[in-house]
Amino acid sequence: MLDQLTDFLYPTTVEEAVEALAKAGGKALPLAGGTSLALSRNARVEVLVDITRLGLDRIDVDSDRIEIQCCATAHGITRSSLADLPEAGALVDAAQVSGPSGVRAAMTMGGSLAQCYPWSDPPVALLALEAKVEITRKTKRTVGITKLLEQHPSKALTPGDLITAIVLPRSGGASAFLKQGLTVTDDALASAAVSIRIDQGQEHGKKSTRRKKKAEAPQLSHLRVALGGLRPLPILATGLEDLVGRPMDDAWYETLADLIRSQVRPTEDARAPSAYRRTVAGVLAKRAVQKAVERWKGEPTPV
Amino acid sequence: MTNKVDNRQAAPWTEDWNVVNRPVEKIDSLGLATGVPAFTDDETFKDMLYGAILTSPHAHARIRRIDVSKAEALAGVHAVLFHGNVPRVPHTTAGQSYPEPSAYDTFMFDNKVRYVGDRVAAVAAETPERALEACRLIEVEYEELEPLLDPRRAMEPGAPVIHDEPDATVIIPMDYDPKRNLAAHVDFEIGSIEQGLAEADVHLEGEFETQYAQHCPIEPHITISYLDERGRVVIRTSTQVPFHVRRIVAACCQIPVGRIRVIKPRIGGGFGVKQEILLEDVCAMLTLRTGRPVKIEYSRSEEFVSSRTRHPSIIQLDLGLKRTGEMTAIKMDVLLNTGAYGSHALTVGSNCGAKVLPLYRSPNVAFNLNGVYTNLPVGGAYRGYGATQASFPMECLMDEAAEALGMDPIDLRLKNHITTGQTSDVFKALGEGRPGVEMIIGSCGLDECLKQGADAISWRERRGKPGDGPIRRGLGLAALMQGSSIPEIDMGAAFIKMNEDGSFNLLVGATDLGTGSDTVLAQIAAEVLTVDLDRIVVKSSDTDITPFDVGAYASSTTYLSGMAVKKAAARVRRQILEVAAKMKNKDPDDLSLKDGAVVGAGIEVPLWQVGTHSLYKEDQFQIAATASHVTHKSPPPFAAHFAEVAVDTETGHVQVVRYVAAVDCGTAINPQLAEGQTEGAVLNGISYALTEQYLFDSAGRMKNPHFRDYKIFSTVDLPSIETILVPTYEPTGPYGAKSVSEISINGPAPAIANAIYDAVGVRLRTIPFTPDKVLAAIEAQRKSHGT
Amino acid sequence: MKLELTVNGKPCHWDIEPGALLLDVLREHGYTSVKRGCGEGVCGACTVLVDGKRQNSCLLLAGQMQGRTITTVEGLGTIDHPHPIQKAFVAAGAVQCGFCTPGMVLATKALLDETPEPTDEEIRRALDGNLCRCTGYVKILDAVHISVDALKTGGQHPDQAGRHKAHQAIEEAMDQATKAGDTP
Ligand SMILES: Cc1cc2nc3c(=O)[nH]c(=O)nc-3n(C[C@H](O)[C@H](O)[C@H](O)COP(=O)(O)OP(=O)(O)OC[C@H]3O[C@@H](n4cnc5c(N)ncnc54)[C@H](O)[C@@H]3O)c2cc1C
Ligand code: FES
Ligand code: FES
Repeated sequence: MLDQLTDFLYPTTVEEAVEALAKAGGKALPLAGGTSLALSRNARVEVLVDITRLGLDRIDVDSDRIEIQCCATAHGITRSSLADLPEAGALVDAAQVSGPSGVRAAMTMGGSLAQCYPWSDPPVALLALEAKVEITRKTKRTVGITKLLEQHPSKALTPGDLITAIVLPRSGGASAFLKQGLTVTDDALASAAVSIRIDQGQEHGKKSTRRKKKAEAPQLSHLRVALGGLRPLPILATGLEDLVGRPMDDAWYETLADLIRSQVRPTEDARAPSAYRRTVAGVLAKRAVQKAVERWKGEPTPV
Repeated sequence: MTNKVDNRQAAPWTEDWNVVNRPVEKIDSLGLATGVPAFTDDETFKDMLYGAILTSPHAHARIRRIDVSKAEALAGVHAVLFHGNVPRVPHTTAGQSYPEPSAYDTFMFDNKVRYVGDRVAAVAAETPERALEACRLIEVEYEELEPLLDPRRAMEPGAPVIHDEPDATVIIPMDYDPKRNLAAHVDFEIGSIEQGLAEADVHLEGEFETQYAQHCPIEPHITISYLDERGRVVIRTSTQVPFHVRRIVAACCQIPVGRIRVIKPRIGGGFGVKQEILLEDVCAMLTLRTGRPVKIEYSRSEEFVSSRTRHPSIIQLDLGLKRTGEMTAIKMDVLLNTGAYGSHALTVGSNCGAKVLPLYRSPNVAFNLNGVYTNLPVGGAYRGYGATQASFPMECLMDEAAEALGMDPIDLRLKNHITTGQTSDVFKALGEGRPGVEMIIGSCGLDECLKQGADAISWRERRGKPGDGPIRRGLGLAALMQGSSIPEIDMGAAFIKMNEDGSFNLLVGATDLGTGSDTVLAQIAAEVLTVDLDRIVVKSSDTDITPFDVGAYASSTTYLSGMAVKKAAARVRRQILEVAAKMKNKDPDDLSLKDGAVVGAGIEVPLWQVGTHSLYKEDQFQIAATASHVTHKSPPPFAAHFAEVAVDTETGHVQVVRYVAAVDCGTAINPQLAEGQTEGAVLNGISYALTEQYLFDSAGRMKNPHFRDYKIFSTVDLPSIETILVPTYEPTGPYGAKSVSEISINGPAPAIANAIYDAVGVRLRTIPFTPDKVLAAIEAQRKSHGT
Repeated sequence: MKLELTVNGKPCHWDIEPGALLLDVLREHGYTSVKRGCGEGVCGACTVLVDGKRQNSCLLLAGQMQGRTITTVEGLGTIDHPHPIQKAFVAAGAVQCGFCTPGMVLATKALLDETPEPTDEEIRRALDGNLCRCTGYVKILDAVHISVDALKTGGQHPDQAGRHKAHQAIEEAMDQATKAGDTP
């Protein structure tokens, strides 16, 4: 219960919302999907500023960037044009399994990021996708996702800050996300999001006979792997540089899995042993790359 | 012998059924789909108070001091109950027939707490928040005692004694030794196991473990009680056993049964957990103390922690077989963890044997049960009732036996399973708190189940072909039996009266908890009375209005209560014929019912004329009859279950891809409902096998009492489930019916375990098969094979 | 605080506690078809439509509903005039205890409003937030397929056209998923 809550505000413009938040100082919070706030026991908050009436739920795909406004829901992401875009695949995959359907219908990308939990899914995808987060108070500033997730985002946001949009650079590559839970929409025991670009020599979706062999064992020009469900916040895998530009045969994938395993130290989770979650993180990373490659080739993959 | 009469009556209707054996729409489903107020909490009561229960944070402690004065002084608080101000009545919360075969080891409140979640005190207040606040104001000083958390240690000398109170007792002759934490014990030996094993060419043995699991009805427990205009206590409650609620609440509150009325509205699922008196006694007591309506409901986490669970078990099984596949010995040793109270310990434990051992013929059979107390959550009735626990080792070892003998697992079952005309000494040896009842199997469709199920899943083509790559496929099967009612103990009764328009009121004590029993019983009445289903107006389970019934458990409703309905309908039918005969001056023996009219001897009298005549014209009387039924058999339904799994050898994830359940439930009175029962039980069984479990910390506290982390399956986790109903005719059941609702929860764990073996060659003996466990087993095997 | 909203077509002016959950407020005002199964956002028994979209009312503060339009299952149809989806649930045998049914029906409504001819995969995803312990979902999926057909023909119920479509589709999906190594 929000014991001290006395009022709701329903601004219709960003300016109004930001002003209302600023005015109330630490006693007001933005309210998006409410899936986390409604059941929280925040004893400080007195005013909730409903930000779902600001018209900030669009998802725009431009030639140089993808803009996801803060109130786009997980369900909205899965139904948007992102679903057909290989490079945004990781976020669509993540949104598809971010809890049960009733939650996905309500939870917003802004809320998911602001209130990042150890098992949260969209933030892992956003980390792999090098998102830039647009934060508005009186003025706008943009913070890279890697920086934002150095500590818990709620700490990086000062009272009055509103995440208004999440911007993804157009990569021309492909991405994918996978998680392991006990059921499909369970909180992640481990998750992995990868973003890849494939060597220029191999063009997206084309299959000439000469390149066919190459296409079966393509080479990456970019690889970024983010892992979730293992630590309090999503983490970025490091030391993967050597894998870029090398033929992606079985050994390549096993090396990737080993590299991942060797660098994660999962925090305790009663539901499964840490050693298991570490092993699976490697498998998920490997398979997410496979899935992204398939996507890049234009082959249908079950999300 | 009432049974004989019934058999004779059954015969003329076996052909040409009009309502029975048809998938008629469930009579309450449209109301439920349109959201009419029907459940316990859908009615509001003026001046209602809200109850809350303070529970123990400790697994094992004595309450040294308890001070409720601050709670009582809080504005808006109307009553506080604790052990110091309520009667101390030893009882069992198990809703079973009197005298219950469960230990009387429970008190409304006690000065000792025996598990985390045990009752300490209860409050009634103006609002739910105020009630919770009052609970927080109750000061309790606990003397913590050493907790007993390992059932294997329970009977060791020096183990903490959980029920050291002098008044814990049993009211039937049974082995009960609380000083040794022994809540229930049974053993028997038929023939000689020693000899049986000596004669065997192969001897298989293994220790298997099953876990704590919860029923998870989507509606948690809820009770509302209030006083009627005569000061009687009315209890509106989500229960499977309204008549047992009335009796047990009467005892606990020390008021006569006649001063209590129990109403069962629609129930949001039970699966056994509502065969338990958990809130009713406290709620009624709060109403008696305050004179006001009181509501108590469990939150989801209270439902997990403080209600009831499936008893976990550790089962050691030995099988002896000849090279020919003939069985020479079956020995089952069950250590059943009943938690802090002995609810259903003896009977669930006995049913591990009674519903599993007779499936296969063996001259030598031994069974040993120890049901032990621990300081953990309390076991109870749960769909499957022991058969779930014991089918797992039995069907897994049968799979191993088939492999050892080089036989197809289907053939091994076909060779050994009990069938029509045969009996098993186990029936006689194991009853429910007393010796069992001898029984000759009257119907068995297991051969057909095995054959049809095997075809449906392409057993011979697909088995033993795991493929390569990280994901391996496998097929497994399990053969099953259950029972239908508890013979010579359970009683169901029905009352039918006729109205002037030719409609009938059917009043039954039987409890529809979502199973569709109101519909099934109405179908039976409609069939006898040759009317459409909508002419039967059903009212079930109101102890002031309907006749007695033990309630919805032991797979008894269709078989037992259905027969009571059939008998009552036959009596009403006779009265109708007599009235019509009088009206038209005919001999009733020349008349019969057809399509809602009395016909024969050249007359045709529609039922409304008979009804109107009887109520208004001459020699007025109410056409009505009551009938009761007690069975002398518990005819088993049989089933063969087949699972196809995909095992991920890198993550350990097991995906059930296809599931086929072929079930012999005799005549399916309503095939659509019978399928629904099967599908629901199968999916529950699958998530029990794969994910469901209680996680405890070292102090015995459940760590995952939420749907968030106790995972039950949703639509995206669902495999393809195919149900095949194999019809047989059970001579002692109404229209040939046996039970269907429980049996199918028993199949998934062993069928999946066997399928996992087919896929990756590892044998799992502990449920659930979570990915980490499966992966560890695969890796252990890789290591031992040195690959 | 004051709250203005529309429930099942009826304008409502309610006085509420600011921290109150929509689920509790609706039930207090007599909309008892909205059920509490968990209060944790997992089971979907509390599903309502908010401006046509499915939401878990246990995860919404009532205050969020200012000016919104809510539909509960009572507003969809009645015993005398049931909605085709409600009829489909009855015909398919998808109602056992019925506690999950209002939520299932509304989740189906939201799905079919958005996607009139969903694939089986889309149906299963749309309903993955509605737990049912009784049915094993088989007949619930049948009911959705029947609803699709019924709505296509303007509310007529041809027959149980949806039956077995669901089995087949699941099998195919599972086949694909497990082949692709994409188990959850
Ligand atoms: C049962 C259940 C299961 C779930 N499962 C998963 C899962 O598997 N994976 C997953 O990823 N998520 C899951 N979630 C969702 C997750 O836990 C959060 O509830 C959700 O991400 C919060 O989003 P929201 O829009 O509802 O935020 P709200 O509850 O509205 O807000 C959460 C916090 O973020 C702040 N906030 C919201 N929007 C902004 C903004 N634009 N700028 C600044 N601050 C903001 C709020 O002030 C508040 O402090 C689940 C939730 C539930 C209830
Ligand atoms: S009660 Fe809302 S999701 Fe369970
Ligand atoms: S019908 Fe009972 S929970 Fe779905």
